[in-house]
Amino acid sequence: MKQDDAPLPVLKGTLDMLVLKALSGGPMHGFGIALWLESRSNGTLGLDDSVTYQVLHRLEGRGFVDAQWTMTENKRRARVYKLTRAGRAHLAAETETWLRYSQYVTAIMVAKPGMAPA
Amino acid sequence: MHTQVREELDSHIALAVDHLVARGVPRERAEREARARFGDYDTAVGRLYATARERERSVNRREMIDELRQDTRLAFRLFRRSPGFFVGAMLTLAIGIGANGAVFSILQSTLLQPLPYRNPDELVMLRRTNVGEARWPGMGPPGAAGLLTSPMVLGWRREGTGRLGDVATMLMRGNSGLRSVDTQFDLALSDRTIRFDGAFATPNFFDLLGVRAARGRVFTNADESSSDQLILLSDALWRRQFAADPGIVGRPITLTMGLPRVQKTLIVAGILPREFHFTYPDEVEAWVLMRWSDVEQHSPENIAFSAVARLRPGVSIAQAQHRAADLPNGIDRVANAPPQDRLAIGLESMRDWVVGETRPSLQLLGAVAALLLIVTCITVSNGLLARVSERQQELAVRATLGAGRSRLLRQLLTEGALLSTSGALAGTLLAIALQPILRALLPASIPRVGEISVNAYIVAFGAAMAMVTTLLAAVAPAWGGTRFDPTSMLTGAANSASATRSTLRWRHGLVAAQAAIATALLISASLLLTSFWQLGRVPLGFDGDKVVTVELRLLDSKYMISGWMIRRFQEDLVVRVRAIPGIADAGLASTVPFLGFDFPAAIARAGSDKTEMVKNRVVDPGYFRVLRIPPIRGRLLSDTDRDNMPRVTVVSQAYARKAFGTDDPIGQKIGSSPAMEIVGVVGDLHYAGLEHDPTPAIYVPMAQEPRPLFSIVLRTDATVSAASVVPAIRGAIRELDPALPAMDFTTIDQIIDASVANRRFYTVATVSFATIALLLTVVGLIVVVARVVAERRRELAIRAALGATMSILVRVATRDALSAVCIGVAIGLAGAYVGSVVLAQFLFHVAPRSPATYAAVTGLVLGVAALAAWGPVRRFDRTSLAAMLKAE
Repeated sequence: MKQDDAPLPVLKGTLDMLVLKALSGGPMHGFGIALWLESRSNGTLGLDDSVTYQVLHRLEGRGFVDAQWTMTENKRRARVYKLTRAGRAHLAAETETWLRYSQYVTAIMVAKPGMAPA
Repeated sequence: MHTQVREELDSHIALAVDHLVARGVPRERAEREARARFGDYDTAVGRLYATARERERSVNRREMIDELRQDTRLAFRLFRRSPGFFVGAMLTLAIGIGANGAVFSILQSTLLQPLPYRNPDELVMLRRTNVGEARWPGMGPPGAAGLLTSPMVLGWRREGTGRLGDVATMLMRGNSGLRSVDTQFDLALSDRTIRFDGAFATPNFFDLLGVRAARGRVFTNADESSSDQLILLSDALWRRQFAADPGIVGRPITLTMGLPRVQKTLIVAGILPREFHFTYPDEVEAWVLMRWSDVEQHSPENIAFSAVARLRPGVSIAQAQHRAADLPNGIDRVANAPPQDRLAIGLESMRDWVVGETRPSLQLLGAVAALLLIVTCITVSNGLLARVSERQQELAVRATLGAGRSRLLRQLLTEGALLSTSGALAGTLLAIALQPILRALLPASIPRVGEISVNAYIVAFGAAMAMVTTLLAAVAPAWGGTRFDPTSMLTGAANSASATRSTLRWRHGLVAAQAAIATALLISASLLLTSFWQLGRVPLGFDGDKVVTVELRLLDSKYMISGWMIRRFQEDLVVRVRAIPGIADAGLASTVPFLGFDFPAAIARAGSDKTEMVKNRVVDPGYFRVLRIPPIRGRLLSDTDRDNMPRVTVVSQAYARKAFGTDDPIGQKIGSSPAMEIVGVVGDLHYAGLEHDPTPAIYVPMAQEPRPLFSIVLRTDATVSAASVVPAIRGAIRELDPALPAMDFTTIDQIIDASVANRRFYTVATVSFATIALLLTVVGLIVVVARVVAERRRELAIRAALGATMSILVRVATRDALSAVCIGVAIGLAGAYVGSVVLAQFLFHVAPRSPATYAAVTGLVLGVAALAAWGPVRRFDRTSLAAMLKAE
């Protein structure tokens, strides 16, 4: 595989944020979240689906999401996750932290060596 | 949980397959792809399962904490609603636990705590006995306990060390009350001379005990071959007389010692640790090195030595005792004595030697305190039981709302735990607060009093008591309280018959138990109190009120020349002391009542061989005046009975009766070389203690038989205190002989008081505990009867409406409770009867099974109980009962 085709490793802690973001649009079951993540990242996030469930259960334990068994249109039973209010607040906080963090890191990394800070 | 996880993951795979199939992927390939995308199924399951399990556990934990918080809040609310009960119960627990903690701390440091030596169970004290007693303890003739001869200790050292263990020898003050001259050391200070108790010990003494010096060093075996005169100072002496100067170690000090008195210069080898007390209660203040070679030079007939041995591991005291009988004992003191009477070494464990005679009274104290604790636990249990039956409705409601039986049990246990923990805390604080008070009140005769302190033991004991009382207090009500049927509770009246009856039966049983213990304690207390009162009524035979006494020993060599020096000193002293303003009269005596050593002698009538054992007391005429001893016949000693006059004596009534029967002893001669003429008879004096009958005694004039060891007794004027004349007396003594130290001043009533201090202490303690037990029984009884009255309201009301009189109502309401009390009293009487055997050793002039006491206590308990039971019923008078009936 070419370098830029290799799946990007996901930094720890950010996956929680991504899953919460996925749910911010509305309740989804685990498979749906996995699909959403793949499509949004253009397939660059090479994740096993099972990881998604670890994140979801962890988020459930911390009270950021609620889960319920429902029936899909295809008559399949699925456990659907929903963002809680606490989860929404956590998502907002984490998003802000991430954006600021990535801004500074990017600024440092693109600066030519020896240049004074902008 | 496991299945849920699998379900979710399986549903994911199914959805993924559907998704792929919808995109046109053949089903088989879709399934493979879906699984591949998923990752390792089993690992995922495992991990998710573990996460789920952890979550479940934390939820459970949170639930339990919530429940606990709820229970505690409920308990607090409950207690706040009836603060009286809570405070009362807590105080009750506090008293029981506090009293026990205080008593336990005494027992712990005196009886239980190991002695401050290395492996103290291996240590034994040696004493003199005879072969019969040694070989067959208890079967041979009774041996005279006491000091050993040098051949005895040397014999052990030579031949017993291998089989039995090391031995160390000491010269110390015996327990007979006689301060041996050898062990009194004088230290000359700038303005006066002080005298203190010392002792001698062989080089291995401290190593044998396992005691190390706090400063410097102790004696070692190497000192046997050196020639230094070494001395070790006690911590107390070092602080008191040498200002805790660390530089004293290695420096010489000069002491006067021995008989005849000589000055000796000794090098201070070290200072002993503060905890080191070998003798109780009076401490040995200095230890001088005594080499084994010195011991060998002692006269072999001299019984002067004490000895301590450390038995080899594995050798029991009984075994060692048996083998010790075979050790050589040197010269037999009594020639032609049967083999059993020959001298032998007896052994006594170190612990017994230290605790000695105070063990029984300490055990009595422990037993009484334990009984009080039981009574307090019962009282609190009873109280909690009462509240459970009051709250049965509330418990029933909670049961129907879904609380399981264990949940309710847990709630009741929490309440019980809360109560007993706060009670235990209060009790521990009480015990800590009592410590200094107790220490001041304790008679000095209790050994190791100085070691009594608040320590972890008391706290731990309090905590243990809290746990025990939790179980006792909570289990009974919890057990009784959850045995109910919720529905009948809600629908029926407050008295669900079966539950109430079983609870009530328990509680009547508890009341009976309380009454039993209170009765037994009260009987013991009254017997002890009676003994104490009887002791106070013993006629002393003399008046010791406001009589000051101080002991003097004329040991200097100048007094040894002839009796004349002693006589002159004594006459001068009496004249000077009488001249001191505030002193009414003064006299001299070889020994003072209750203090000092009453010298025995064998006296025969002139011309007869039959000797009687008497106490030989040498006194001057002032003695009889000061102690206000009147003559019964003839005259007392007077100033005319001087050295150059015929020898006279005054005898006690007991002797006169023994030696002369009904004949008049006046004019008769007794004794020999020289014979003395009896000129008077006086009454018997209690000299050895209030509990012992007076022994026959004779009184010889000091002028005719001067003694270097004597006490001065003086009576102060009515308004003058004893303490105020002490400096003047010291001054008078110093004027006559500046190098003569005066030992402690005391008054005779102080001495007598001290002799009963131990008895007074445990009598007061028992009376207090018995009173508290009775009070608690009354409280328990009132609570139970109140409950009965409340629960049988309707029945009582009906009876009242049908014309029952007050007395009938009272009888109906209190019958069960009072019969419980009667049963309890009967059990208590039986217990006291059986236990009287043990109590007898503490009693004086009162029968241990005195019917009068038993009857009086029974009357007291029943009377108080009847009065108490009547109270709650009285509050239910007929009008209120009728009103109640109408309301129903």
